[in-house]
Amino acid sequence: MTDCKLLIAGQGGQGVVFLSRLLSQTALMAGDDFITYESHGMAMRGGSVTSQVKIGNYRSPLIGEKSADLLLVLAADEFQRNRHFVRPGGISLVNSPHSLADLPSENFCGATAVALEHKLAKAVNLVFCGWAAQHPAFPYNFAQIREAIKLMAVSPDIETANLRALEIGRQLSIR
Amino acid sequence: MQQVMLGNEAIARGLLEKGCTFIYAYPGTPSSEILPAFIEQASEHAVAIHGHWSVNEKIALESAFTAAMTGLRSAAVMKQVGLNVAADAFLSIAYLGVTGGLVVISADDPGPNSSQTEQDSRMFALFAKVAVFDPATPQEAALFAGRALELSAEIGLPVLLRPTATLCHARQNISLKSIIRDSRNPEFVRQPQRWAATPKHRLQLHQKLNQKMLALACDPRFDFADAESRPTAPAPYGIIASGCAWALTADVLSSLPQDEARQFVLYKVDLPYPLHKKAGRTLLLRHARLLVVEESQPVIEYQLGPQEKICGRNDGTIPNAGALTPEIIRTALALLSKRPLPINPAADEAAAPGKRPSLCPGCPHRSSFYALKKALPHGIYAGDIGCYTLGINLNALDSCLCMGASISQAGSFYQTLAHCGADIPPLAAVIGDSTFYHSGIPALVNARWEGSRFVLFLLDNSTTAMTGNQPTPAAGLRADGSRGPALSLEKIIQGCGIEKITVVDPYRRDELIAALKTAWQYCMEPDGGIAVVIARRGCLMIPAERKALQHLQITISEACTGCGYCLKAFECPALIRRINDPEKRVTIDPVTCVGCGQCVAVCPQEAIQITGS
Repeated sequence: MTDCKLLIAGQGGQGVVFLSRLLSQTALMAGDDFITYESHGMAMRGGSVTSQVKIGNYRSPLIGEKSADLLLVLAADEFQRNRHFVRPGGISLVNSPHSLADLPSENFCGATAVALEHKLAKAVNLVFCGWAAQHPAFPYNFAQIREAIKLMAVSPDIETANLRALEIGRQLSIR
Repeated sequence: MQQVMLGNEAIARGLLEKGCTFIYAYPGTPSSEILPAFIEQASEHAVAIHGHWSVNEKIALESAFTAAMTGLRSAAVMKQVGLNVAADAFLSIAYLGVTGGLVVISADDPGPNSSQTEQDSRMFALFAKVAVFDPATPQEAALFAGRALELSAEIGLPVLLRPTATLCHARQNISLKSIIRDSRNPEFVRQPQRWAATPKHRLQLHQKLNQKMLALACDPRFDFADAESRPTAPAPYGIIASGCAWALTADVLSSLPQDEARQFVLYKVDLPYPLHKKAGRTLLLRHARLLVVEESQPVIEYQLGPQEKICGRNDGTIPNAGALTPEIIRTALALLSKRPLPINPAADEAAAPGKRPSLCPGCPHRSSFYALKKALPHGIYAGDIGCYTLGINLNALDSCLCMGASISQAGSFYQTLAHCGADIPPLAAVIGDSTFYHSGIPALVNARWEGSRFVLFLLDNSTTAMTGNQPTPAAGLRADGSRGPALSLEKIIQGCGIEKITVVDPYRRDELIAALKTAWQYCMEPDGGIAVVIARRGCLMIPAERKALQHLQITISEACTGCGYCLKAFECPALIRRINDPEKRVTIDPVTCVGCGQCVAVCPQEAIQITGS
């Protein structure tokens, strides 16, 4: 039984909600209990957005300060704002074109540039996810995420593009 | 059978399971997904239902109530400020009751995240004497939506279901129950003393309502004095909580070390109004002190009465503004048990507020606001509720009160200034199409009648954009996807007695600026009045609109001086500073740019250029 409190941070339009849905779908397929929370409405218009994912026996989706096991950040600016949610010993993984203060150098990757190179501008989140899924702190393995993506895809085209983005991310090795 | 559902989808499921067949709503975060989910699920299971996006919440409630007058089960869905709009009907319905079942769903937004106020709909229930359920999780929301409908049918009164945003937009695996198919025919029994009650009969109805509420307050089904897990040793401190506040408290308690946690017993209230009388008294006797955790106003605390033993919002143990967080609960537990307060070393790390929301790339509203500032500088711009409230970022809005208020306020600015003989700056009311239908129309009739003069700048993106693109009466589409009449905004405005109406595509900036200038000139003519400028262009969140948009290649040349004018005056998310550029010049973010080309005319250096398509 997995137990993981995960915070996903980014900006509206980056696919933060999609990532949290993907993780909950993966949890479901793994037979784990979970509860998640997504920002909607005014907060969605390009502003800072977070999604909270609690896998395990929880009743509230809210994650307190210093208690997240894993922080996934899609926009580098959001790292400073959210790092106080990470518990001592917890892991932050950040999509950033450059290194960040207080972040070990192996914990960031420039997923945006890579996604653009492959003409996958809309799938930056999945490139990042493919990279992050290799980290031991990530609650599920690459194969499990793949299966969840297949199940969630609304068309074969989207499925192909999403799996491709995930695979490109996987090839960005964690240093 | 289980399925992953959003809290709002779970609510829809709960209604469907218990035979709800009529549902009316007006979109508003965090409630907007309930109606579409209900229609979709009903269609999946081939249940015959009727669902409709009403023009406002008052109409939604009146419609749902009428269905429940004929013996059917119905629901009216809105956000918490929508209940303010529906208040007139809500309070009256509490007296009249129903012969079928009626659930009113009012979704609260503590924080607030996407609302004008943090008001607690449970407080409204207490005020109106309507029983209210407060679900804690999506799973429970499905269950309570059904319980609310059944209780309503049982007691012949409307019942409120009050979810909060944390539940509405939580996602969880839900156990599904079977769906009751209600094939009852509507039957309206004439009872003028009830349905059209005069004040004399109203008094009797009120007395009857009081009796029913008293009976509920003594109903053993709502006795909350038995905790889920009573510790073996008596615990000194009791915690009474409802809804998401209960879920949060439960998680915080289970994260505490055992020796600390065992001092507390957590009690869960399903029905915060009317509060079970005996349970409250029992707990006051059982524990040395009681903490009440509820969101966002002290509804349970109020009903427990003033007691030395009780702490919560009234004595400041829990702050009386803002959403609850695990830190607030931890602090409250420490205050309750008189332990040292938890040290919060992270507090100063909770850095600056994040990136503020802004209009989407290519949003026609951005072009409209830019034109408004150019055409009517130094004006007073009365704003309204919708995506375009974000015009505040562009320094193009001076007010935002409530749905439809832009028109009343622009009218009243005119009256106030004119009657005092003051100089009248350009006056504009800025309102979206959906908000205009919601409550702008009566305001326009009033302003025309009063003889006010202002430019009504109607931003018509042919959708209710902020809440997820629900159709408006002009769309020719209904909630269930069926074709309906497409009402003409122009004809409605003409019908309100307005003669001067111009329709412009906001992407045609020069035309729009000219139209706004002409409109204000008309307002100030001796026999002028209200001039309406409709800026009409579809929201780019609508896939068809996005597809139809010609994608231009935009580049920023070396002529950029880094002055930042475009960032400030236009604030398109696709305009960003170059990374590590000493001159802080601007570039186009290829991920977010939609290629509308609207920024080209903004740059004073003419550095923004179209370089292809």
